[in-house]
Amino acid sequence: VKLIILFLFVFLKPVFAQKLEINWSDTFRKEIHLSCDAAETVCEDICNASSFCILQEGICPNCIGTGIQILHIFSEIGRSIHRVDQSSLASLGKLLIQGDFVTFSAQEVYNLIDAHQSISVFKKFESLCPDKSLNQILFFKTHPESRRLISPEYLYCEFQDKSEIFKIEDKILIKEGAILSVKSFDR
Amino acid sequence: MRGKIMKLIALLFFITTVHAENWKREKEKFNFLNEEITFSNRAFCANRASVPTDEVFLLVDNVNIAKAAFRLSKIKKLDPEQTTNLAVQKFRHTLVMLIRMISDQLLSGDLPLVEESKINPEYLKMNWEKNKKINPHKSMKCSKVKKWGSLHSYLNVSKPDHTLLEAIARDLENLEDTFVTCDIDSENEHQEVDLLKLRFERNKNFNQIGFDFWYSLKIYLSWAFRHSKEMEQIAFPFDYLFKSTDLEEMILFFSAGCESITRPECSEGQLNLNSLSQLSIPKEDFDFSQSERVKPVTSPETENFFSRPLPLKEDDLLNLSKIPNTEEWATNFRTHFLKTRGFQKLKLNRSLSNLNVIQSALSPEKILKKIQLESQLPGDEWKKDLFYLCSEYNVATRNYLTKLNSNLDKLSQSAYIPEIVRDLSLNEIDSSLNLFSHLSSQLLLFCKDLEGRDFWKDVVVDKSGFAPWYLQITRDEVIIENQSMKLTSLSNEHTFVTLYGDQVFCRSGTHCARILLDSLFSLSSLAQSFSSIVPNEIPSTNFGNPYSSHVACGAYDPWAKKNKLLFEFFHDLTQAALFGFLPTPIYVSADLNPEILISFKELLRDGKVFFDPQFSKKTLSFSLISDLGPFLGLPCSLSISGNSFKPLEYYTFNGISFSGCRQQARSDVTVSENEDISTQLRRRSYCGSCAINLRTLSTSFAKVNPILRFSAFLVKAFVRLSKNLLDPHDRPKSWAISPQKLALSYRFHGEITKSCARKLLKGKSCLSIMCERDVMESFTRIYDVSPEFTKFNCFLSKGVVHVKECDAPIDLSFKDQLIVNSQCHLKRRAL
Repeated sequence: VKLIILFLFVFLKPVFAQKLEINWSDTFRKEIHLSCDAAETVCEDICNASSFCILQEGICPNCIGTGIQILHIFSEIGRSIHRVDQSSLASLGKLLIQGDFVTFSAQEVYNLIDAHQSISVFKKFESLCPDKSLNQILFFKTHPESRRLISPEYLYCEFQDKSEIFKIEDKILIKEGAILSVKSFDR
Repeated sequence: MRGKIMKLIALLFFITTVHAENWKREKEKFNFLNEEITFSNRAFCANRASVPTDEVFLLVDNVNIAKAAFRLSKIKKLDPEQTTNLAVQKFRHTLVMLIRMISDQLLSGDLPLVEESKINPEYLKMNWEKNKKINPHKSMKCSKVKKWGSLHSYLNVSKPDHTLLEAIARDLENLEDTFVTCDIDSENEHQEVDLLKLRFERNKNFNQIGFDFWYSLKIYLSWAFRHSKEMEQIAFPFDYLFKSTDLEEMILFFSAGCESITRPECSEGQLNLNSLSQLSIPKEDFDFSQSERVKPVTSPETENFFSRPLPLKEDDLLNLSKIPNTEEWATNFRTHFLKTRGFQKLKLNRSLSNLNVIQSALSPEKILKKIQLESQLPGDEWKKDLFYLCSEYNVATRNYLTKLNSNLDKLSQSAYIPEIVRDLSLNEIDSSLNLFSHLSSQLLLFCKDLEGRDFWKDVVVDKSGFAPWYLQITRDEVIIENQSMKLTSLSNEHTFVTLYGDQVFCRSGTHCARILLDSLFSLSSLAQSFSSIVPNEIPSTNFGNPYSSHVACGAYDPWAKKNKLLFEFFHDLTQAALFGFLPTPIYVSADLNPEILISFKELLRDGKVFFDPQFSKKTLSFSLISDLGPFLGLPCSLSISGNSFKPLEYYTFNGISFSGCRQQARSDVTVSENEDISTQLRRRSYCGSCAINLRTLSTSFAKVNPILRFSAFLVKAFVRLSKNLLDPHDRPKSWAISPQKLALSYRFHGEITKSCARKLLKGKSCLSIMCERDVMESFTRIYDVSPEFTKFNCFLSKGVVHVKECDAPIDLSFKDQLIVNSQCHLKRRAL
């Protein structure tokens, strides 16, 4: 029986190699909380800790507003901003270490475009990940000095029992055929 | 004896000097009451446009901060109301503190004025960090405006009457009803929009540096709000949040009087910003669909500007009297501004996305091939769509292509577009235009072919199916576009380009081609006001002066008007003598289009004006310029008396008519010699303000008896002089009201009579004895009392005053300083 329990523990435990969460500190700073599997070295690479890192996210210029840049981002999520290939925490880790990033999630302080807790926003973010996901975080690359947004880079998808990292892009894809399939913003 | 008198005079002079010094110090203490309230008429106000202002309003939009704080409080599980209020208060406080800090350092010279060519974050950082001042100089006074009231009536009244002066006096008694200090905040509520009034110290060289000061203040504010340590300290714990705000979208400076915050320029950008004042119209009168900025096809602000009549101050362009409560006024303005700007942003976003899709998915050949196939399908809906398509491409290509090209060119070269959007979409504009050009040339041939084959015989189309831009151009009908605008008659079962998630982008090739053209028109309509959709710096406008654009664009020149009065008279007399016996010696070429707006300057430049060879061209040009002065550069419609335009005919020039609005007939400036023509012109709808009058040689004065002409000129000269001298609007006039004198007069007499108003308008007090006036001004400034009776002896520097608030008389002594001896406890004023 002990062997069976050990087997179940080893092979059936959730594959949570890493978990990312957005947190706002008590002094209203945006942070990324990263939990790592003890077997992995990601946390150690990022913050010299074995299982948990707190990463400060820099400011997001002009994000509290309704400028065309932020309007574009929140309108295009799930449309021209879409998932491409699978990636890894190690790749995302490089961006996190550099610190030149800004995150967006479904419950976003920076999203003044949509109504608060709007179902359509949750749906838009859900549509980014494959299958049914619980949490999604978009990572945008920023300029090292001015911190202006440059391009969407990574997508973190958290599922019931695992999490995955994907590359994302803001681009239209075309399929040739009788009916053209184009990923883009609906008019 | 003489020596004694001299000594006495010297002593009196000494006492007066000391006396004056004491008063001066006291005056500084009660700054507000010492700031004169200047009323002025149109001409004076227009003249002041070139002077930098030291007083501005700051409109602060708190909504985005409140929304972000609300979302944050939900995440942190904090009290949303408390967090939101605190964030809004901190935001306002941080802005005021930073503005004060920057103005202190700029005015003291510690912080250099910015040089436009050098602006970059490093340069600003270096200046900021190099010039630290420990003790703030407090060069700025800030108050929150609660109501417009009589204290701001100088913005929409030329000359105050005694009733208005009395209202001002009453408002001065209760200043806290109009203003509260910026530091006072209500703890339980926040306003969507705050209206602050900022007054800056006007140092000696402010007139020289004023405009650079304002520009520098805005640039440093944008930088310091995001990067300075001082901001972090002031705004904590909201500093992180505030640094992420789109500050340039959230605040607006505007001048609080006739003087300007921005050097008046006749540029499209400035005309656009100044025209934002139209958005202050009350909501019940605001017709969104009639707002020029949201129309499917917009005309440049320069055109709109010249078609509007020159307003009077009493026209109240800022609608202050209609919405006296400043909170309501600011919220109303914000609502209209955001609605307009939001509409434009969505339109921009949608159009760019559409072009992106079309550009990526389709080629002209692919679209045309699909359209050709569709023309063979059975069913009227295909034919209808093709009819719309062919009509729209026909109009766009034949009548509108140049404008479309130039507007889109302007837009794609705009420096204000954030890179993320520019990279993704704006590079598509050029290629989309190319796609359109290629497609339209082939498509129009195909359309012609269809028409030749009676393709649309018996097909009935509904005009509502046309694109809004098409209806506006061809039928002058304005329909405001919305997201669900279909541009197709096809039902849902048809699909051509489908989007990710099964959303149909277009149902047919025809539909796609129409979306392409519609998106190009949408972008073109945004080009005119793009700088106000995406501001690249904190916006500032000269709202306080409705004439600043008119002056900058040469449409109104009161200075020239004033100085021309007598000159004109002599000129008229000379003209009577010179030309009374001769035909008007200027001819204008006939190949002119009466419908085209043109200025006389252009006519001269383009060689369309000819001079009678017996006169010196130089003299005539000078005579013309001095006669027409500021109106030379105005774009005007051409009008001909008598016959219609005939080719190869020469016309004599008959002056320029410039009319203001109808109710200001007295202030109309008519340079025309023939009153009938200018009366006629006012009825012409295509140009409301100006017309170049021409007449054919056959109907000119050439045939009129020269003696009659001479008399006509003489009469004209006298009539014009007397009209000009009586002109209440176009001869610069101003009236500076001293608040202390007004307040004292009101306190003393309990009312402002007509005769007292006349004295106040001349800068005098209604109290007759000089020492009594000075002492009473000071006494009532310090104490909140209502004097009823006084008895003064100026020689002994003593006086007795009876006030409502005290039964016993109060003794005043005022040799070196004011000493008040009273049995009652007199209430001191809070100011």
